[in-house]
Amino acid sequence: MLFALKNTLIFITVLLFTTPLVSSVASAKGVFQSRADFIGEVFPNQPPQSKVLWITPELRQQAQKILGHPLYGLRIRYHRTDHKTAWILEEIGKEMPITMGVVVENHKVALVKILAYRESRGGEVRYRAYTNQYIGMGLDSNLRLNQSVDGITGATLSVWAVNKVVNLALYYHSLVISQTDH
Amino acid sequence: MRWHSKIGLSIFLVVIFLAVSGVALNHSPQLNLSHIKLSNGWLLKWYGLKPATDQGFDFAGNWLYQAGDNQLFYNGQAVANCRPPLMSATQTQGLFAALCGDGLVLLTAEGQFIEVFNDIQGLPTHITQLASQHKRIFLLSDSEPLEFKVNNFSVEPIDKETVATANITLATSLPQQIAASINSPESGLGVSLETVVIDLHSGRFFGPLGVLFIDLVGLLLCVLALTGLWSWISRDRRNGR
Repeated sequence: MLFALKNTLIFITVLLFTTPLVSSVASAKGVFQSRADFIGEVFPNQPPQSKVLWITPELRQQAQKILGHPLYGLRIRYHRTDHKTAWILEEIGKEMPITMGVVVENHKVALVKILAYRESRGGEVRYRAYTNQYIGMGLDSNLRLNQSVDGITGATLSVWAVNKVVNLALYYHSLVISQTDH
Repeated sequence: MRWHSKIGLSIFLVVIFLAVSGVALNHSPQLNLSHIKLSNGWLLKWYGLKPATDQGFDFAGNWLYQAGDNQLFYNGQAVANCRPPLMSATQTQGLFAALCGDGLVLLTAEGQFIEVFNDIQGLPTHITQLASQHKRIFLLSDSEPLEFKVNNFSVEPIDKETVATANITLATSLPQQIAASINSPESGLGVSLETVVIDLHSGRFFGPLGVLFIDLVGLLLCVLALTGLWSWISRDRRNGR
């Protein structure tokens, strides 16, 4: 019995001292990729010049519904070739903005990447195992994501931020495609 | 058993605080902790939050300045996020540009936020000053000057002769009325209650020693559990069960 208790005490002590080390790796923050590198990766042959989507009152209203807060700014910058668009957007997770790159092709998500993460917790959203869940998603009739993702414990606000940005990128994509189709 | 009692008595207050603050953090959204701002002078000082300086950039009576909780103000209105310091600002024909700690903020001639050009977009991090000439914006630093191309969001090297004749607006003292308003609670300066509770809960509020102290309390809690279990087993043995 004494032997078992001794071993348990040693195990708990090791766990207590190693947990902060592991969690600090998981929550590492920083800039992971620049806009130029992201666009170069998405459009490897000839990165297109950036274009701007001007924010109309209707667009602003819908974007605010998606975000759940006011949308600031007068224009959104993006890159496009044919039916493929790339967006670099920011949304606050808890207190700091998370910069994300979203690629949409034929109204479906083709890639989601976290380019910069500045929060101290919740950085797990940058892992491919999480972001790959968005691939293939589109919009439903209410202009919301047509599928759900498995969240991450302890990173709820970051997950919400990624959801909003992916939703927004799909909405923006539908607008720029419809503008050129007409 | 004697050690069990001693340890329990020495940490019970801290344990109660950790339990209460933990519950509060678990229900932070419902309690709205992140929206409650604390702006006591000593707390701001403790967190190293400096009240905004009384300096701003004057463009023919229109003032651009930094105030509150990372906000860029234009004539009394918060117009965009702007992490301190607000290093420089300039005006071209048709727009304002403000160089903040987190990027180059672009505003219309009426002070409406257009968009931001930051390090991820390609803004070099060593830029310290802006200059302008007609519709051109120059980025200045100790190394070679650059021109910021607003249309395609890029930077290109520019010769020093061109920049030599460009306009540079230096920071000056804000008018008294604006200076009085920039550090008021209404400007948004403060630390969220959630941040304070998180830092107290983790011990970070008191620096590295505070974190070690909370670690120690955690370890002692484990010891308490084990000594409690040990005394329970010992009692059973003594009772012959």
